[in-house]
Amino acid sequence: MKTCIIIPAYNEEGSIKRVVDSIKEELPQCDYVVINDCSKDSTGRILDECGLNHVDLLMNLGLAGAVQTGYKYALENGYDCAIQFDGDGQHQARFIPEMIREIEKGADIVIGSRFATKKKDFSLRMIGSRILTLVLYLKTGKKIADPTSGMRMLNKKMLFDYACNMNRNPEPDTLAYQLKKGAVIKEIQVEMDERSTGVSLYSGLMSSVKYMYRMVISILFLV
Amino acid sequence: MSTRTHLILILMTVFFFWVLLRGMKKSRLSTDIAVLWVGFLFLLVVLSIFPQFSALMAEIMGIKTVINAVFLVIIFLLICMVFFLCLQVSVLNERVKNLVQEISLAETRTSHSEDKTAE
Repeated sequence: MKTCIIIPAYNEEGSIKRVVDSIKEELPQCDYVVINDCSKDSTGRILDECGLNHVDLLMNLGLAGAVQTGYKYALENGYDCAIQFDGDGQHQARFIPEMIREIEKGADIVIGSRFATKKKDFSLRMIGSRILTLVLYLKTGKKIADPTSGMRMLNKKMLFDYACNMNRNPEPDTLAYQLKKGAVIKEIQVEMDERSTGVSLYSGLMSSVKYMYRMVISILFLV
Repeated sequence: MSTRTHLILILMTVFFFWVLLRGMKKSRLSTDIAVLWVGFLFLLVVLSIFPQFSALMAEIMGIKTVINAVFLVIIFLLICMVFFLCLQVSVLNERVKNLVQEISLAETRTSHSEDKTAE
């Protein structure tokens, strides 16, 4: 299966080279594309100098816009499935082959899940994750242990849908939407590293509250 | 409603209509949106010129003071207007995003083919 690894990167000068190198080493058969979302640091220069395959966005579109650009790229170049893979070194390439196998078995979306078989702890972040799992369950009747995982693989059908339509953020509410439409979502147990450089998009109390509000309202009422 | 209220409403409408025409003349307002505002103003004119009409409307809505009924109608129309603008902004956002994506992808394609010809 022709797989495209999409790496959205915004100010990831400290890790992007290492992430791409690890993909090249672990999965020489897969292609990758880095989407440089108008980084303000030297990410763009690193990508040019090392000759890494990348798309430079002309304007900063945010994570959703960057990932969608990757999906469009994958669609244009005839890939069968695509995976979103963080540029900060949290995700590990060695789990990708297993995810591809699930797509081949017929799943529409495969999530690299931290909690498919392991338990969540009780940190604030995990309580948020629990709430989202609960809300998703209430809405769709399906259990997704790790809805906020950024490691998602899409098959061709989903790829087309995510690339071409409005309101397909790479977030849990889109998962709820796809579940309601009858998509098959599989979870694979993966390990994730603590981010080594850069800051999380969702750090800080206010943005966490905003994120939770947005997700809960969107899943319950708008999907 | 007192005569003074009528007068104020009429003056407001006339002034706003003038602002509207000026906006169009200076190419700062598209006709598509201007016609909506004209409809809005038209209703205001009807409400302010024919007191029987607004009185009837208040009666139907079960509101005792006529002016309150007029306010309610205006507020509702304003909400509609803001919502319409939100729709437009969403569509514009989406279009700008798609444009940026398409142009960025196209630029990548051209730079790739340039690399190949250079080789």
